[in-house]
Amino acid sequence: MKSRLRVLRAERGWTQEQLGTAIGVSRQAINALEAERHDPSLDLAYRIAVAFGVSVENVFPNPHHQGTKP
Amino acid sequence: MDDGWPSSRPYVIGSTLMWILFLLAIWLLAWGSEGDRLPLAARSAIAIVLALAVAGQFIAAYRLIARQDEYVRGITAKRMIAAAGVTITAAVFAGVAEQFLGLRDLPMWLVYPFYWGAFGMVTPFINDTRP
Repeated sequence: MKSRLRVLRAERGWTQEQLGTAIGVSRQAINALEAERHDPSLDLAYRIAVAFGVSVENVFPNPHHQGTKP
Repeated sequence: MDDGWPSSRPYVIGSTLMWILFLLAIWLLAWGSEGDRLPLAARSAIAIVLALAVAGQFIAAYRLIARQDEYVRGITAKRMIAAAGVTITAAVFAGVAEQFLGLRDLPMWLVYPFYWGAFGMVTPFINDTRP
């Protein structure tokens, strides 16, 4: 799943280790998310969004969103 | 969260003890079976201890995996399934080869070290939790 994780993390000057510790996952998990080797659970996506202070869709753009709202 | 698969100190200590127990039991059974050095009851007890060591190792691995984050749990589960596939495939082939192709009998307990060897071999190739 595509994400803005790497960009958001770089903007804040956080390492993968720091972000992982903040949300309770391993550095490997952060690396896998950034490399699109792991699709996060909803719970993890929410925890990441809270850590950055943004909405989930600001971190993980919805791949099913068609661009127009019904 | 734990300090990471498979470097957790309690896991490494527990796992090492289980392996020592396993290998010691194999050695004792091999030694005790020659010329009936050990009575059948003693060999039976050692065989049960050996099997419990295998179960203990898997319980320790399960507990360690359960404490990891979702990514590590996911890739470890995939690696264990792949290792089980490799092991069962090899065991089925060996069984058929013994029965019908004249291959010499292989001890079934080899399945256990073979499984963990297979786990180590597949590990570098499985780093993605996605289908």
